Amino acid sequence: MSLLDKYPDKHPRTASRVIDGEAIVVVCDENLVKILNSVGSRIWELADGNKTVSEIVKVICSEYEVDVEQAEKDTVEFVEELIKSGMMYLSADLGE
Amino acid sequence: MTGTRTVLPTNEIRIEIADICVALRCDNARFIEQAKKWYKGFLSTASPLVTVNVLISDTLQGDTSRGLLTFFTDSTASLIFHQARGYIDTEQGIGQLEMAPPFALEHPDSLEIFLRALYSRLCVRNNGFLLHAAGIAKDSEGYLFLGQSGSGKTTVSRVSANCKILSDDLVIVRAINGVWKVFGTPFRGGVDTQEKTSESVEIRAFFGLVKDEKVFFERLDYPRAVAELISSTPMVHQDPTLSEDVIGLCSDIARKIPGYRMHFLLDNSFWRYIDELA
Repeated sequence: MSLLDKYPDKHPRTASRVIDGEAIVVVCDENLVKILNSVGSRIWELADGNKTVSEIVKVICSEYEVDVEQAEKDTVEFVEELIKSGMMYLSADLGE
Repeated sequence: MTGTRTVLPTNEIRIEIADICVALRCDNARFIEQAKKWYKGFLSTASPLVTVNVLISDTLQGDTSRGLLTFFTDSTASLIFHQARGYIDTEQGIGQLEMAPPFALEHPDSLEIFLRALYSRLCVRNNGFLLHAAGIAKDSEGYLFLGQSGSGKTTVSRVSANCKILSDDLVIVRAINGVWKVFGTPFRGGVDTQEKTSESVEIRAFFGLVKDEKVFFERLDYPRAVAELISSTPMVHQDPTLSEDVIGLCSDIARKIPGYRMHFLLDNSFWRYIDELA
């Protein structure tokens, strides 16, 4: 199963708020504060454990001028990066 | 004339920081005597929000040799640190601090670590938070200079003649009736030469410090101002719930008060620009 079919969610050890379209994310344990750009913030908002990456890509394509192929590539890379930095997890991972 | 005066029992002192009072009870007279000395200027007889039972124990249980470890639940925190362990329940208004002598009786460090953790939680429940910042009052207006160790907080304080230094390292900011104020704390900074004060003043502006070769200011947009404040809040980042609350408080302060990144020289030339900014 590719990442596109998985359900990303905000890691429970984060705290966040979207301010003026930019998400401010506190990564507990790492003592990090990150500001996500506009598209990243939208992905952050959409990542709630109930939507697949594919479904998030569809929303991004409808809201931003970007083709599906590019959006898939960028969203997958972004989600992978956030997982690596402890900001997101794939909801199925909890039960595994 | 009639009036009442609160007389505390001999085994109790009360400390009031940022108008938030905490009682410490201990049967060791030497500890009470020392704590009165360490927290001179912050002693109070107000009603405490939390009462902490302090035990000076030769037989401290468990491994307390490591650095500060904290374990949080919704309203409680357990702490283990150098020759001490503690427990805080802000919901119930109780706490316990157990420390080993002779260190606990000669140095304020263990008590201070505990009080910082306690106040980091108590403040958030009372519209405030601790901030790594120099708090400086000039002409009855408050300025915050934010940054971690080495960022220049002590330098900024040292060169600010004719100003009241509320703290050169750690302040408390609180919204009281919607107005954000900065309060001095008794907590010691890296250079502990400054007299501690419990005074407070309304905040006019805040500045993230950047040592540079010329003086200039960059106005922070709203998200970056919030992030600048959050980055300087100690101890709350281990607890996501507390962090959520602090983000909310930082959002409010950044909405009401202008924030800047201040590039400065190691002298007082930055003050010439500040009056024109805020």
